[in-house]
Amino acid sequence: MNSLDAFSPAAWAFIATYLLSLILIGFVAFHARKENTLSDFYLAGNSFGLIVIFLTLYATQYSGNTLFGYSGKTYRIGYAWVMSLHFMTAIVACYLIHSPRLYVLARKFRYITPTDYLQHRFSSDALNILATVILVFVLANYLLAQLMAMGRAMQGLSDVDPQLAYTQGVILLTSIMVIYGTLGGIRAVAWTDVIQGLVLMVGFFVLMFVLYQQFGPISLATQKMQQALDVSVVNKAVVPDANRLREWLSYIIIVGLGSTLYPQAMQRIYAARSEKVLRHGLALMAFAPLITSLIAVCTGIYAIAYLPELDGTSSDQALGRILGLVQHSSVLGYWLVVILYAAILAAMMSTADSALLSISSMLSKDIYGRYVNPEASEARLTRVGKIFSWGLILLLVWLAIYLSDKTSLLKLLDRKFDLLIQLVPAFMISIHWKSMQAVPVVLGLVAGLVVSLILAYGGFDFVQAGKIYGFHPGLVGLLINLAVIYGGMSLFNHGKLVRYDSPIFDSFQSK
Amino acid sequence: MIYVCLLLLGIPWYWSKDSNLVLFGMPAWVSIAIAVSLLTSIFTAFILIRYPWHSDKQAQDEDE
Repeated sequence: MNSLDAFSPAAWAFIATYLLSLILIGFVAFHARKENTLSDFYLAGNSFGLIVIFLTLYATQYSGNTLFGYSGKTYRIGYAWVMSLHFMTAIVACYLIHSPRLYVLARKFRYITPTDYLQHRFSSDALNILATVILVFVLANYLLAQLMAMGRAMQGLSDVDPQLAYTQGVILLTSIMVIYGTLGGIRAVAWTDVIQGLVLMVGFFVLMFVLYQQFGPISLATQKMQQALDVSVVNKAVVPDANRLREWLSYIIIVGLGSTLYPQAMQRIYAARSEKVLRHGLALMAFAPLITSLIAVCTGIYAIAYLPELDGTSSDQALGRILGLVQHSSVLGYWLVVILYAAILAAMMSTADSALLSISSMLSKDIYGRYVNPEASEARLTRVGKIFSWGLILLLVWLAIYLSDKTSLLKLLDRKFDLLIQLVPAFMISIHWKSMQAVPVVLGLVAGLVVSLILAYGGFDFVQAGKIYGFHPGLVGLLINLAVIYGGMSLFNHGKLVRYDSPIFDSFQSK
Repeated sequence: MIYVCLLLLGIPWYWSKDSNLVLFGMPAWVSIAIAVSLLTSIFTAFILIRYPWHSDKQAQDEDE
């Protein structure tokens, strides 16, 4: 993943101190717990203030993929990946669709997991199980990608054989993460997110500074691209074609809507101390793409201009190669790269720990607590959640090591947004429309999933690079999903569409 | 409605393919897309800060 020289013992001591501080936070959070309940373990007793809610949302939303993946994607398609700014901003705008009502309901009815809302709204076992399976699958997939990124980040930083370094990196970083996660629950995850979020933010600014120092202003990179002899480089600065523009729109819709349905995102809505804190935290998040995605895009642009030799498969090394140049430039450059690497590890771990905790909450409360042992006490459910965390992480560590050289298989599994967006009607629309019934929602969800997966994996000629004329298959699935639900609503309610009155609590109480 | 306008303005469908205009060191269509992203952020933050949701409204009503 990178082209850096092996880190010195002093640099390793810096990274090790940072990693050990995370475990220490886990112990502090363990002693700070107020009661042995699900609400305390998974939502910290709804105690998050503004700084914690902002930094935990930030650290969770921006992963290692933002740095490596976005700079690599920019390297491949050029300035058009500025669309990432739009879809990351769209996420915050999409929170406005359901968060106001969801927050009120979550506080009033003490939700812990996303499925608690579905149970409350629809009381349908089929929908609960289907939604939980989709959410757990999507999150496990997301978590696996983070674990693999952790392993790759460790390759080349020491003199150890790269494959061994990958395995050691996955095991070491995952162990640290699962230790502080199971010790202190969401409190530990959020507190480490505060540190990780700050390190990440500093890391992005350091990266921008380093790029400017090394290569000069972005205008020089743009000029080099526009005057390049290679047409493919010139094309990376020109206005995108129609297919890319449709893809741009598709990304805004699918990532904007889909990301707000990540269970860890919904649980952060539940965990805010007050509505004002949540609103202000989201308001700060609205500006995060400008200090994060934009810098990752600029990194890719500098790489196009100054490292034109990377081919398709090695383009994800763009950031690593850039950092390699900076590392060699001066002592200051060397240490800036060390700080940046701490930020990269922070980004991966903070995203992974939140996903792991959310999966554990859904498996223990929505599956074990609801269907296997409904009489289980909160303390037992919390204990079962921790056992699930360890069991799942062992499986995923094994998969991360096994799949390390099978990237094509990984790409096959990665349809998370196509699946996640099928839950939009169940969560985002049903919270506004009273006349939505469980049966049409389940049928719509199944239809949407089937259509999305058939389109994605059916080998059709009109599906190019996983998209249909630039649009994600999940969006076609969502249209079918909505059509089925509308048909069902017409049958059950004779075509009458009834909205919930505001405020929503009364309507839900009368259900 | 404002979000739809921002969406239409942000995606560079209306630029000529031959445009080589540079603005703030980047192709002009990129600078405009970034500016629209900033406007969207400001508008979203304004809505979030200016307009309370249900529970804040209810708390205000109870205070009154």
